[in-house]
Formats: sequence, structure tokens, C-alpha cells
Amino acid sequence: MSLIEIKDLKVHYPIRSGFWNRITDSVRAVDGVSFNIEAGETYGLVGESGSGKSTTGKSVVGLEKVTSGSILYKGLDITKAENRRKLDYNHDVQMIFQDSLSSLNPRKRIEDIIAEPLRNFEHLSKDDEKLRVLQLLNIVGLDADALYKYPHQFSGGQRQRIGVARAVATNPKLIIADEPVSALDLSVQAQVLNFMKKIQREFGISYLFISHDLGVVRHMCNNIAIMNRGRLVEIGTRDDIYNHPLHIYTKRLLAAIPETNVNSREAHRASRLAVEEVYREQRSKYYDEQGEAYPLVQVTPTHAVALPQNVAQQLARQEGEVQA
Amino acid sequence: METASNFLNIKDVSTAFKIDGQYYDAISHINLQVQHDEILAIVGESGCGKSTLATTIMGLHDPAETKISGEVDFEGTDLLKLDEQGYNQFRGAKIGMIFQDPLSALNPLKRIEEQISEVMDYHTDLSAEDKHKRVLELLDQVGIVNPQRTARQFPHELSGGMRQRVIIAIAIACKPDLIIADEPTTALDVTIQAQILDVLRDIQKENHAGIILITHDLGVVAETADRVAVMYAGQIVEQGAVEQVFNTPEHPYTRSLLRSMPQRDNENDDLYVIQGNVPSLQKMPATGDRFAPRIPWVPAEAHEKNPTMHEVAPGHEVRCTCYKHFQFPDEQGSVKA
Repeated sequence: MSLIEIKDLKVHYPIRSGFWNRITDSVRAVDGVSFNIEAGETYGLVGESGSGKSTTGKSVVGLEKVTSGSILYKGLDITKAENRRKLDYNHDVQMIFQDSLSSLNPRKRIEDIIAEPLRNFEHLSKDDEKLRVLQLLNIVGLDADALYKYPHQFSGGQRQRIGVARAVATNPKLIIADEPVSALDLSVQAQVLNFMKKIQREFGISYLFISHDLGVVRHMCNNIAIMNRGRLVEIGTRDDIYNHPLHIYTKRLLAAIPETNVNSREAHRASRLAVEEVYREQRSKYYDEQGEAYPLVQVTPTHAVALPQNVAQQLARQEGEVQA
Repeated sequence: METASNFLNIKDVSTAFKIDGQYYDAISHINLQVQHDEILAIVGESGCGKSTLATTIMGLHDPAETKISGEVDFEGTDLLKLDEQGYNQFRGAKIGMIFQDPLSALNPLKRIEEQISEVMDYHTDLSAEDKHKRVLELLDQVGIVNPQRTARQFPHELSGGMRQRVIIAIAIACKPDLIIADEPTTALDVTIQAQILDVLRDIQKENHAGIILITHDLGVVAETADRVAVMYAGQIVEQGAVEQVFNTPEHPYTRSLLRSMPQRDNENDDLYVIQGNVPSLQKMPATGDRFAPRIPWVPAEAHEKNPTMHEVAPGHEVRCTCYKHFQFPDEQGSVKA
């Protein structure tokens, strides 16, 4: 059984207008998203800005009011607050934020920041608590003298590691990481990603890894979902998505990643422009009349794409021929 | 490398900021040339001084708080000797700048047309009609589909990619010889980023301009630049043609950076982490190789006392001699890759 099952999740924001300020329309930030996260895996959720990936992440932690759909954890729907309480859900699911400076209280010392989830859930004695905080700092590679410092005294990478330490304090089962490294420099990014992987190996944590950076996602995630305007357009393993993408949106995203291989840059550019051309000409094939993505259909046991059944089959066959 | 086509010659430029009454070098002894028809990328991590270099060329520093030495020779004029009025003859006219955040660089209360023609008000004596024509032409050139409509809109009505196109249109309005683009695509999605970089490249070809592209993204550099300068802690540590720097990187910092990127074939390995941190301005050592503390396994004798640039191939320069002895810890004993 999956750790988390998200079924047909919808988050709509009302648009009010007119004299009575009635709800006249809604922004469909997340519009029917379903996927499962297995225990111990890193699930990647990829999309451009405004695709609804962060809203999905917030719904899973319970920070967003869900319009419809369900998120099942241990068989219960945690979009209802009573189930969250019953399952101790807020203890098991934690979050790492993008901006480490604004997500740490500037007036608290690191000791208090990391101990906060412990104080909420574990009720340890003073000595045990300190021991645990030191342990956590050790896991993310910070010294004991960090205990009495304030967030502004650390560099960006160190702060993000403090965020990681806080998230793992309660031994969670799942951590939602919303763009955890996009504000960091390359060398610091490597550090934080390594720590996230190390912690996963040691504690068997699952991640929902939300990012726009396909290079980082390829490095971190086993399974990946591509999100476009509130809907999923493609789901698959790393191999499915990176080596056999079917949806034009996925292909566009992949083609637009800058490559560090200077020798093939003209070829890479040409292939990107070719994909853009296909996108312009065949847009109607990949989206329905309203310009929305189709529902997902399964093409292999691991790979699903948002296309009409016959188109999906045809594309998959073509892709199969290319492989053979 | 002094050829006639170097229209921008940065010679031994240092910019020091005043912190608690003391001056500290944010960039020190920078030497760079830019030619027509080329994109020179300056790459480095945050705090390495790449934006300081841009604002120094543009003369945007408060003279009371900064000390600038050296020479910025732009088509025969030393920009650093100019007063504010003299500088204004260059800014916008011969040097255009593109900023990272297009929303804060645009005036929220003015229509796009006004903002683009403002540059021309200062630097040209075109009639109102000609200016209007030029605005539409510029918007078309940067790939905006409906210039008529966009010209009448306000910044908040445009998407991030469109805003950045408008900024580029402003920067190129007077056909500058030099365009400085400071992280022009960092705030944008990858698909938009690719489009904006295409626009930049097309403009460079059409106007025969020289572009200084400042970025932290090695992928962007590899795809767009003709030449690269890698900066670390206020100094250029390696520069050369983009093929030279990416195919045969020599400086330990360049090699470490390239190695710490997630690549196609290292999914299951840990990424390479550069030890330690960038020293802060106040703690910057006055002599010695500034990167040395971050590669402690390289013996001290390998570094120069006062590192200078060494030419390893025509046009390819590396700071300090330590590159000759540098190996990653896990490839020690093996042949240098």
C-alpha cells in the first residue's frame, strides 16, 4: 500500500465580483490531481510557475483548504481535520520551505527553532531535548555552537540545513520539500541535496520534491509527475520521463533545460526549436477544446500521459519503435 | 589579446566598499576585454563580485561609499574619469543594461510605450511619430506578438517573460554597442528562459553589439556565450573561449563547480561538495590563492604567493599555478582526467 494516495484533488479559489461580491468564477489552481507516494521514495512534482505544484504540496501538509478530492494516509482521508488529529498526521508529515530566511523565526535561537516540533509532539525532558537537537545538528553537519546562534548568523546553505534538521526532528514519514534548493548556489545546492539523500537512506523518509529544475529532479527522484496548469500531464519513472517523454509539454520542458555540453549546443538548440514548432502546430492534439489537459491514460504499468487513448497508444508505439 | 576590435577594455579595475570606515575590495584587479559580436559570460556564485563589476562599468556606485581604481576604456574614453553628466551620455545610449527582476526595473505607473521612448527622449532627437514607430519596431524585434497592444499596456498586465522582453527593448532602444545583462533569466521559467536567450543572441547578431552576460547558471553559459570568465571571491580565476573552459577546465574552482552539478549519469551518487565557505569581504586574505582553503589537500607549495593569470592555450588563462597539481581527492594517484 502506498504511503499517501492523492485522489482527484481539487483546489479552487473563488473570484468574487459584482455588487453583491458573489462568487462569479474560480481559479482552478489544482484541478483533479491523483498520484501515490510510496514509502521511502522521492516523488518529484515538476511544473512551471503557476502550475499549482506548490498548492498541491500545501494541500498534502494540510495548509490548504481542499475543494474536493481526498488524500488518504493509512486509509483515512486527511483533508478532514479530525482524521489528521486521530492519525497524528502533523507529526508524521513535515515541510521544508524554499526561502530559508523567511521560514525561520529571526528572534529565536537555533536550539528553539529545531526543538519546536519536539516540544509540540514529543514532550521530552530538558536534557533529552538538548541531546536530540544536538543529534539533529550533527546529522546535517552543523557544530554544537550553532545552538545559541540566530538564523541571520548563518549562510544560506546552513540555514537550509537547519530547515532540514527541523523537518526531520519528529522522525516524520513524509517531508514536503517545496523548491528546497532553488535559492542556493551550485556548491551549496549539492550539499543540501546530499544531506536529503543521506537522511532518506538512514531514516527511510519519503519526499515529495517540488521543483521547476528538471536537472535536480532527475538527480533526486525515482518517480515524477509533470504538472501543467493545475493538471498532471505525465507520470512515470525517471526513465519514462527523461528518455521516453510522450506529452508535448514534457518534451518542451526537457528541451529547454540548458545543457553544459558546449560541443552539441547547436544540435540541442535545433531540437528545442523543433519541439517548439511541434508545440505551436499540434497544440490542439495535446489539449482539448478548452485548452485543458486530457485525463491521464496508462501506456505502460509505470507510465501515464494526459492524452486521448488512441493518440497515447500511437505515440507509445512510435516511442517503442525508436527504442527497438 | 589587444586587438582593434576590443571596444571595451577593463584594465586592473578594483572596487572597494566602505564597511565600518574601512575599505574592502569586492572585486580586485579585474582585466577583461569585450569585442563586437560576442557574448562574454561572467559566471560565479553569489557574492563573487559579478554584479559589482557590472555596476562599476555602469558607474552606479555612490562615490562616498566606494573606492574604484583602474581604467574602463570604452571606445577610447575612460568611463571611470567621467562625471555624472558625462556618464549619462553613455548610459542608455552606448551601454544598455538588463536587470534581473523586470517588475522592479519597470515603472508601474507608466505605459510600456512611454518607458521605451523615455530613453530616446534623452539620447535622440526623433520626432514623436518616429519614436512611436521605433517602439513598435523594438517590441517586434524582441518577439512580442502584438506590439500595438503591448505598447499601451502597463507592466502589471504583462507576464514575467513579456516584461523581460520589454526591458531588453529599452536596453537596445538606442542601438548600444555594449549590453550588460545581469542575470536576465534567473526569475523566469526554463521555456521562457530559452526564448529570452534566443532574443539576446539574435539582437547581438543584428546590432553587432557586445554582450556581457552575468549569470550563475553554467548551462546558460554553455548554451549562449562565446567566451567565459569565471569569478571567485572578487577575482577572475579562469577565462577563455566557452569550448576551452567547458571541455578542458583547468582551475580547481571551475572543475569543482562543474562537478557539483547534477548530471545525467550520477543519479545514485552523492554530488561533489566544495569544502568550506567563501570568505567574507572583511576576511579576504590579502595575498595567496583565495581558493586554497577550500582545497586543503593541495600542498601549499603548489600555490603562488601572488597568483597571476597563466596562459594555458591561446586565449585561455588560469589564475595560480595550483591547477597543474590539482586532483580531486577520489582521483588521487590516478591520471589527471
